[in-house]
Amino acid sequence: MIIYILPEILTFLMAVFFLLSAFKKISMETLHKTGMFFSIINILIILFTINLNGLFFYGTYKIDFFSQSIKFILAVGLFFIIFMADKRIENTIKKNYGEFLFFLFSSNLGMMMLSSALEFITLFLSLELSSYTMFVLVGFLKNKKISAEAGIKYLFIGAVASALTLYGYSIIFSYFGDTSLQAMRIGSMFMMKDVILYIGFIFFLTAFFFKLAILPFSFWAPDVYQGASTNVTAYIATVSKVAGVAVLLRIFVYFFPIFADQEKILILISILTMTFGNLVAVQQKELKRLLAYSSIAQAGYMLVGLVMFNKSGMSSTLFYVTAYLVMNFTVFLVIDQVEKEKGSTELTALKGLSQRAPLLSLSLLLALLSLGGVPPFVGFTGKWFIFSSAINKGYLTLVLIAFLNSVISVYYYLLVARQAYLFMPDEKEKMKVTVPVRVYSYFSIVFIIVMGFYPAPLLNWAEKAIRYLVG
Amino acid sequence: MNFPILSSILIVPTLGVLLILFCKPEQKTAIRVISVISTGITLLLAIFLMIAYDRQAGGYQFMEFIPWIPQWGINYILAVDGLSIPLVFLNAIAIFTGVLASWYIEDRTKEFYALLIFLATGVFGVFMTQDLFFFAIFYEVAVLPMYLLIAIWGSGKNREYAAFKLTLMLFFGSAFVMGGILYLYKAAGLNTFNLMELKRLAQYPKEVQKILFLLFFIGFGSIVPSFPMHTWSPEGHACAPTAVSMLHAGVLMKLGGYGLLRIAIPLLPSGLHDWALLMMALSMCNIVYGAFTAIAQDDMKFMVGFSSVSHMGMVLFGISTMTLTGINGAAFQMFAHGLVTALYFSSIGVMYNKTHTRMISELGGIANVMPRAAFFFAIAGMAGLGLPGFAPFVAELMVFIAGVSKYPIYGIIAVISVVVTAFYIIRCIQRTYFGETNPRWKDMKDATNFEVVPLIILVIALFVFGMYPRLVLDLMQMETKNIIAKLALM
Amino acid sequence: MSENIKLATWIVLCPFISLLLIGAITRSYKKLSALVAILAISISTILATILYFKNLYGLTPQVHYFEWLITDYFSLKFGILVDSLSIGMIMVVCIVSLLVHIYSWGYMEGEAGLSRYYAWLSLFSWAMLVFVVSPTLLQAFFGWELVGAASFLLIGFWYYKPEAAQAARKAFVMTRFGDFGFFVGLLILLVVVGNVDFHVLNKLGTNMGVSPKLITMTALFIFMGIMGKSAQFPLHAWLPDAMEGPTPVSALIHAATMVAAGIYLIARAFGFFSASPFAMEFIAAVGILTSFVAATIALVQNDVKKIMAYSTISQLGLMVAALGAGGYKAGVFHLFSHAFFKALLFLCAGSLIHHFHTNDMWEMAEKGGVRKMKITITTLIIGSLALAGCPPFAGFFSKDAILVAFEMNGKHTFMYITLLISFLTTYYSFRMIFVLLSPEKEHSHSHGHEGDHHGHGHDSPANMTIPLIILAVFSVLFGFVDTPLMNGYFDKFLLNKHEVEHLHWSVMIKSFVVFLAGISFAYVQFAGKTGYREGFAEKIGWLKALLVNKYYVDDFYFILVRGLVYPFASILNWIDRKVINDTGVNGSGNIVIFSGRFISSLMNGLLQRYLGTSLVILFILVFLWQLI
Repeated sequence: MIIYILPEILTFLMAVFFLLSAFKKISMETLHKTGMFFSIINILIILFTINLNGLFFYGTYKIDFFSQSIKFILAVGLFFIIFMADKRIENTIKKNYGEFLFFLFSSNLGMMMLSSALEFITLFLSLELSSYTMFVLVGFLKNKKISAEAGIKYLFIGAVASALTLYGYSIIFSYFGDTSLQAMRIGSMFMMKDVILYIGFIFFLTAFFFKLAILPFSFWAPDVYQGASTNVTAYIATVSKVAGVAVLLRIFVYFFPIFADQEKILILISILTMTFGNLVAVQQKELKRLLAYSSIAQAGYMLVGLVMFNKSGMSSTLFYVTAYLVMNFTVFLVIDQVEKEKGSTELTALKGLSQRAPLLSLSLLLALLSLGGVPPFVGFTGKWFIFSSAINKGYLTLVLIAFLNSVISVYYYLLVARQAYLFMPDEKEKMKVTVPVRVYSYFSIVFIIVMGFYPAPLLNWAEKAIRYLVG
Repeated sequence: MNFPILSSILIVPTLGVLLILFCKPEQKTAIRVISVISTGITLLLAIFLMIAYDRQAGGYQFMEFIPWIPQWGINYILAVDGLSIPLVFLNAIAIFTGVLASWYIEDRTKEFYALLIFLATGVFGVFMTQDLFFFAIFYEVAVLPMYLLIAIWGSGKNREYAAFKLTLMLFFGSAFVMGGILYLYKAAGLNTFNLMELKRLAQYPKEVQKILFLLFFIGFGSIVPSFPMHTWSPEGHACAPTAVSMLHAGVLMKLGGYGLLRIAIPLLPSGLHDWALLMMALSMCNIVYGAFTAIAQDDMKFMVGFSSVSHMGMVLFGISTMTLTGINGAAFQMFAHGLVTALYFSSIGVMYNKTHTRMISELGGIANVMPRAAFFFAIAGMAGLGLPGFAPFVAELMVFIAGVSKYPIYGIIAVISVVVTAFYIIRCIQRTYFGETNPRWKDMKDATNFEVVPLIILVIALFVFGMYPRLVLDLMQMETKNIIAKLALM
Repeated sequence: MSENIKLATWIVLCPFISLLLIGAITRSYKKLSALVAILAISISTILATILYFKNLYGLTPQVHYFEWLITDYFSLKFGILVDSLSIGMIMVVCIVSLLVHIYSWGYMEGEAGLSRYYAWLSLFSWAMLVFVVSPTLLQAFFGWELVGAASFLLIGFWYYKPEAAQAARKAFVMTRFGDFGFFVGLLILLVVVGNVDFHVLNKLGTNMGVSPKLITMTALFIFMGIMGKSAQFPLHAWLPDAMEGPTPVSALIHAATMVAAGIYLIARAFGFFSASPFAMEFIAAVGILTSFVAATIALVQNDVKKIMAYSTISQLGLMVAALGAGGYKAGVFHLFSHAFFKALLFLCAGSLIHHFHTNDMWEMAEKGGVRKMKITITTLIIGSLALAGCPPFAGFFSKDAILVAFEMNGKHTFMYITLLISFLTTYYSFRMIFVLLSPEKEHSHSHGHEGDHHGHGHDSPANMTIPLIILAVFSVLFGFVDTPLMNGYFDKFLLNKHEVEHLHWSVMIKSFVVFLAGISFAYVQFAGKTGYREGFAEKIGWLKALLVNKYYVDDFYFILVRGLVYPFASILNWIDRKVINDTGVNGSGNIVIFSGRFISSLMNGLLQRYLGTSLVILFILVFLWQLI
């Protein structure tokens, strides 16, 4: 049994290791290397367990291809985030790097558990574990006012969302009398359709919507994205999205009959979310804020796939969120590189990037266009799958609105790319780009193009995962 | 399996792009040579395609089929038929001459050529693929590099605005195309994006066709461009660098007409019946309004831009007649107009590189200092105003015949554009090239032998296809007949 | 393919080959280009002569078709039609063209763009021949448009002269306006009949079941094209301006051949036009009106080429009127004879202009020495006599044929108007001759010796005068082909008619009297004096104003273009920019941006606002959850 939950155990141990390291003076570089090493180990271990199947802790914890795949992506994401940090990182983080890694690993642990949790209390606890560590991470730059403010905002809104979820769950519990999702799944099929129950369910969703920044709970995103250190923002924008999608997938599968009844309102939410995100993003002059709104819009697209309640919708959402992780991380990596050099995340900081760092700039361009859903990049393919699953249920209008939304998004993504490509840089010398970053850039370019043209491998994997999830 | 000639048409330029990307920015000659070679090979392949196509057998040939994502009904299918071969050929000519015409570009040469050829690759893909998923991919690939090409290498204060407008309006249109394609897939219920299968098997109820055709009409119409979605085009033309204008007006605008003929009409014939009148009305606006507006232009490229609006209106007009002659005319007009505008823009470009202005009011007497540039513009003008002997005459003749037979009054109104076109073209020639030379231009050098090469290629093509239109018309007819058969079934 | 067809094919192809050769190879060698062009047209002329002598007494029409465009719905053909009419016209075109080619060698000597000049001449000859041999209306249109383009290029040959550029533009646009009608007519016929072969069109009235209204309509549409190309009122205004081109071009295109294309077309489709009486009436009326208007304007012109241009318009009007009145033979006959003597007149004018470097006859008279250019002035007088209709010159017989045609078809008014026009024609032709022959002033001799070698009496070079002589011979003798002297040869050739028509003495006498009246009137007013003298038309104030301003037709067009076309275009452009672009396109973009700005202004960064909004939206959703 140990082997089944080995990744979680290891992550836990690593987190503890970093917590303890905070007591000793270990240089950031050593810690950074250890962190990279650990996260690679983590990835390997998860790969090792990827085909395992099992139900543990009295049916509250499920190991299957789906959960392990999610964990794999989470671990890869974590690796990316750690890899992104280097010695030019903010001083506060540099000094407390052990702590920083502790929170990252803990948060990741929470998300890993989230993808396996099959029981409400477990689900909630892992959710809170991942969230609270993130609250701290957001406010990590304690001597920066904006960061502290972001942390507080994040905490408050997160707390309210969690409270509402608990409240919602308490209503649901009063109907089922059980905390096991499995039991509720069976129960919900024979349930009376009851108004109060529905209210319970919508409240229940809030914490998860909060995590994905879906509409009523998306207002935190811009402030938090802007306030937090870019590493943390990248983490929120990529890894935590995967966890959010994973848990929503599980919830929607398990409460399928109830939510399926209310498809239309969920679709309305997704339309509102994407439109809101895109409209406001057009206004932004600050990269991280812009990406915050764009991530809201992207969450809207993902929700479209989720609420189709069929395998194709779910697998395409999983496909999309994976691709999204790569695309979005690429953008953040470039922002981070630029920020480290120029100390600014204004749009204008990218000015002339194409001349100073052609490779970075190209990967940025492709990632942005891919986010905007422009073919032949993976973002387009992902959207294509999501929307075709939507159209298979006959939602032509929804799809048109979504496509038109992506037209708007192309506009502001191009506003970003424009800075990099249209203008000549103020500085003459080339930007220094480290080898790992180069390697990653090549990887992302290849990934974005190849997966766009030939999405079969990723798609097959996503479909397999969804098959396991649905059971 | 035979030699995958269609894939090579895609792969050769792609390889060219890759090679260019691995060049250093300073190796400009190498970059240019790579571009010429890769597009040259592509042109040869396209010519080979035209010759090797079995005209007796007709139908889709050179088919390449690779299952891609079977569970979603997506296959990698390349095949060409009579409708697509001329357009593939047109694109090959346009990109080859475009590469030659942009020899002068010194600023960020590497990126320019990479984007230009990338764009052309997308267009090739659109014309060759028979799978709607790949159609969608290539369709936007063809649009996307436009933004950078215009915004970076374009001219004029407005170029960024023009680039944005072009990109966003085209994406706006393609949103409808994408939605339409997905709905085609769903409504057929065959779980396939294979266009050939859909044409054979799909049955769409009338109401569905009505909605879907409208989507495609909005989508493809905005790239044709149909009134009132046309405003991206003159501005885009005007601000783009020479080669981009050539490709843009020469080929890109044809994607719309091609999409209608390839996808919308064969699959949704009753949809065309429902919307033909609207299409006719809008195309009338294009033809007449575009021509008159061109009179008021001072910028030569704007003028040509509006003339494109007017002439591409004939494509829609031809289609809206729903007759064989009309659709043949529309298809041929796409081909002919492609050649003419490429010639227009390359000849204007040759002049603009020296004078750095295209304002008719500022120029004058250019023929004295640049007789070659003037000559080629005059040829383009003559061809553009429908002078017999050049390809556009044939197209216009067919469109007008069909137009007069189907909508007599409107057909005759459309013919008025012939006079108006002559008016603005001749006015432009007189004001720009004839007359006394403004002292400002006294020292201009004429186009070099090298600069003239692409122009000569285009003139020869215009003349050959104008004198013997059956070279492409016979090809196109094989497919248009099928389209008419579908329309007649309704 | 019969012999005749083969010959005709090569006749047509030769100039085209020359065009290609000049364009591809010899364009940088001026003389070589000229030689190529002259050689090509000589071959054409020789072949044409062979063709003519093979069919000396006419032939049944022979056609050969080449498929050009085929669809299931219709097929469009190109072809070669050989019959008497086309052979006659081929002869005229080839001879005049050849002579003009040769003449240009001298006239255009030292011109920088000589290769271009000869290339365009070849283009023109080719296009004209394509038009002449065309068996279908479509091919006729094809050639028709191409000759228009060639005319544009040649008028604008000296493109650096603003007037030339302006004239070229005017010529093209105005004829193009007429061609709009032609094109529409062609389209309607293509759609309704499906086959626009002339032999089909000519029978359209009798057995095709096409409604007479449709025939009238299409005939009028096609006639609109003829009005443009053959310079009929009110679309004639381009022709006088076209005199800005080199004079040999004026001789070839704007006197002998291209402007006659309209007449040829009516003759070619005579059956078709005759099927509609109304159209014929209309054609005749337009023709006679044109003829009269142009003849009157010519009265007050001082530019020799302008005088000839208006006389061309006037003669073309007569031909159109003759054809409209049903005089098929008369129209064609006058077309041929006019081609010779008008080409002659223009080439003479060219010789004078070449000599004097001015177009103004008063200045020529001033400079003096006209009398010493013996060949030029003699041939000029011969040409004028032919134009004026003095017996036995060509114009006398052909004009006679027209008068007879009017009389036979009961159009007596037309006949008398024609006599009036003849009077005017004689008057203005000899006004010019008498002015040119003004006695030389004493000082003009010394003027000549002072270095202006043009004042010195010598004639133009031989390559210019020989064409003049050849054309003069034609102008003198051509008329006899239609007389009993040659057994009514022309009837036999053209109409395959064997009985010899007797001469119409009454008409001949009337016409001769009119000629005498005209020449004596001119003599009285102009002969034997020096300095500027006024004719009768210039002495009447209002008449002079009307004529000098050319009946205000140009002003009308000016107002039309400036006051209507340009403002209309500007309004549309304004709509395009302001309404469609700024309001429609930018507006929708702005809606996106402003709504974004509005929403983002709500997000002011205050936590309580965020939470409040979240909760409100949540409760709205909960409410909706119930609703949907």
